[in-house]
Amino acid sequence: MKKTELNKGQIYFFLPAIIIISFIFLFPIVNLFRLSFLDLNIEARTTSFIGLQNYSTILKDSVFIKSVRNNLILIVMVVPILTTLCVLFAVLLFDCRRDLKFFQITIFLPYILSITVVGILFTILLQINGPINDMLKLVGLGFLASDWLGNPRIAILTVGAIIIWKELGFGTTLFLASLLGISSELIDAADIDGANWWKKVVSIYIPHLHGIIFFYITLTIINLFSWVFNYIYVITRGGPGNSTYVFEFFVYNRVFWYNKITYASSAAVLVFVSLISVIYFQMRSRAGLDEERDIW
Amino acid sequence: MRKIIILLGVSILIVSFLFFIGAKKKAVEEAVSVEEEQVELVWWWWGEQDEPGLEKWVKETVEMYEAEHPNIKIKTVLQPTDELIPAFQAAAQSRSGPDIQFFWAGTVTMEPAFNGYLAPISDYWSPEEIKMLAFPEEVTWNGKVWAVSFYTTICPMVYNKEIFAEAGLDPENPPKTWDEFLDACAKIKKAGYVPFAIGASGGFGFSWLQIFAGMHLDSPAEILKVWVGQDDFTDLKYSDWFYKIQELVDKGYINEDAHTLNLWTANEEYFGGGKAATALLPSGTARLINEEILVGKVGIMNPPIFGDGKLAGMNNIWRKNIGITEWSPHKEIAADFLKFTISEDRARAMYDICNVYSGSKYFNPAVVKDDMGKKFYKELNKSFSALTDAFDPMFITYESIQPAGQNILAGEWSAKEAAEFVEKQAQQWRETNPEFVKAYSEWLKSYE
Repeated sequence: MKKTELNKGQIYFFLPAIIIISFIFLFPIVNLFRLSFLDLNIEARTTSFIGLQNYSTILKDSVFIKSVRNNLILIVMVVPILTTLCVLFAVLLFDCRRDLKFFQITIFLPYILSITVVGILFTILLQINGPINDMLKLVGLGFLASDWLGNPRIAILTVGAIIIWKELGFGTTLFLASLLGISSELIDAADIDGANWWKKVVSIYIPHLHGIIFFYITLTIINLFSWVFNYIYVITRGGPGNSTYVFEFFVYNRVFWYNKITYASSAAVLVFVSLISVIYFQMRSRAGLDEERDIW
Repeated sequence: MRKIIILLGVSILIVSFLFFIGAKKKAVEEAVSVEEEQVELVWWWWGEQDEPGLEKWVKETVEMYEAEHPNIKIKTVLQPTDELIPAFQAAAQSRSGPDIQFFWAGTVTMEPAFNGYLAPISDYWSPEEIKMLAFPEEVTWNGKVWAVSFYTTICPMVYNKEIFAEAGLDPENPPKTWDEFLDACAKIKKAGYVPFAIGASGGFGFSWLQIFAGMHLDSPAEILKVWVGQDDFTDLKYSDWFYKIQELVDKGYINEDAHTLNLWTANEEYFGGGKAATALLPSGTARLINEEILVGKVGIMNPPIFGDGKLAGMNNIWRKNIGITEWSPHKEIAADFLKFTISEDRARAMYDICNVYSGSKYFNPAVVKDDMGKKFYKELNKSFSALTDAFDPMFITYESIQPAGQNILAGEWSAKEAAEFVEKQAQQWRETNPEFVKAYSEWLKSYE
């Protein structure tokens, strides 16, 4: 497609839109960067430029490091499990389309529930003397019973499991919607050629879902850095003993409990830049893969 | 392109029109308020979590004050526990929000004062009126008094007399020393009960365990010295209580889900449910359980002693404060209302309605008739807010002591590791809050 080039006169007409969009989307981010280099004197209501001091302090802050580590644990745990399960459920649902609605609705139900409700629900279910442990004991699996949210060693993994339970419906529906776009002729042809289920998954479904899987993984990584606050706030409050502290909770506490706005800004900038870098490299690698595929 | 320009023009016109209408409406409202001299005070407060019945007193007090001052309206806004501090911080950052704010004791009151969010009460009250506050040094800094003790909560150690008797202990003579307590715990455990119940999942529970923190201290100034860097928390003088809590955990004398349950649930389930022999309860809840659940079985005791400081054996005491915000346009009226809340009549009504002790010296102890009430009064009149989290910077409380404590309760950290973590966090707090360190250093002078 031919690109339309704008002349100087036309650019002026775009200026208001550029200004408004820049103000709405870029100003807060630029301001975040600006704040991260300042020190705020609340009593005097003044700020002073302190360069990289906030950054050097935050990189030594054990709670910040723990928070980011917990986000990374969530990513390493949730992204592969959730994506695999979503693809698996979507493929299974696609293959037995007659009963599609019942299963689709059932899997989607947790996604409709608010995070607050899910949090409260699992806080009760996962208590040391709660229904899940009772059930495990009842079926002779008492050795598996654990203090799911109270044990600092497993609490973050438990939160990860709750996230997977809640988010499964969205991913499954997303992949299923994409699979429904596969032409029936292609599947019929595969059947006639004698392709078994696994062969169809590997040769038709996964390649078809390739783009959307990439999109979903990117979205989930972003979400696991910037959308897990509600889970933590409702379920564990970062405890026990900071073991489920995540980056957002760190920023929230620093701003709303201790008034460390500029300090929290530097934490936010660090995570923002890291996240942008991860996404950039992910996109680059995807572009590379696409090129390779096109060549073949 | 022409369409875009027209759309943009129309949008600008609409926005300008709305702005104009808004500005005009605001101007009209301001004119009305001046003309009729109607004043609305907004009071953010906490509710009755630890003192059941207090809401009725607040409602009655506001109605009485409004009846006396027809042009003044007081709007009370209830804040849940988790939002009390963040909501106020957010309001303070924009210099808008309540005229009167409720605070927990000690540092939770003083840090907003250090930040310039509060107007000094002493600018509006006479020195004679200030003298009527119980322990004004708690809220004194830079020669000014920054808040009013609204009411006092005592949070004593309580025990179940029936369980004590069943375990072969004297129900009228609870253990006084730490060794006696350990012996009692062993017997209670053998009898099939939890010796001591606590819930620390929200963090607060571990702060309440600071009932054991003052055993080697004579004054709150000593713990303040640790925070400003004049001493080290890892010194046993300050962290011995961590070792004692670990001892209880190691011996299985604390409920095993202490780090999973929140404080209120643990108290309700274990102590209220008759499963635990001892716990820490606010006076209102202790009274309620004694009257309605474990009828007549609740005894009041002092924390078992393991040190020789003047604060040893003192029960938790908190003075809940109210202050006037720096941005309030009606500071004098707010100050007058605060005077009204601690007046002799209101102090008495507070006790009559909900058995809560006013934070002022206007409170007449003669109104306390029952034994439990007298015991509470004796405890709370001993001193300032005892060493709870009242003298720890908020950051130290929520980011150091509470998580360290949760790790001790979960069996993850030793007391030594926990104390080292607190000291490290304190160093970080000092590094990032030099202005607070200065303010804290000034504040501790009011205790020396």
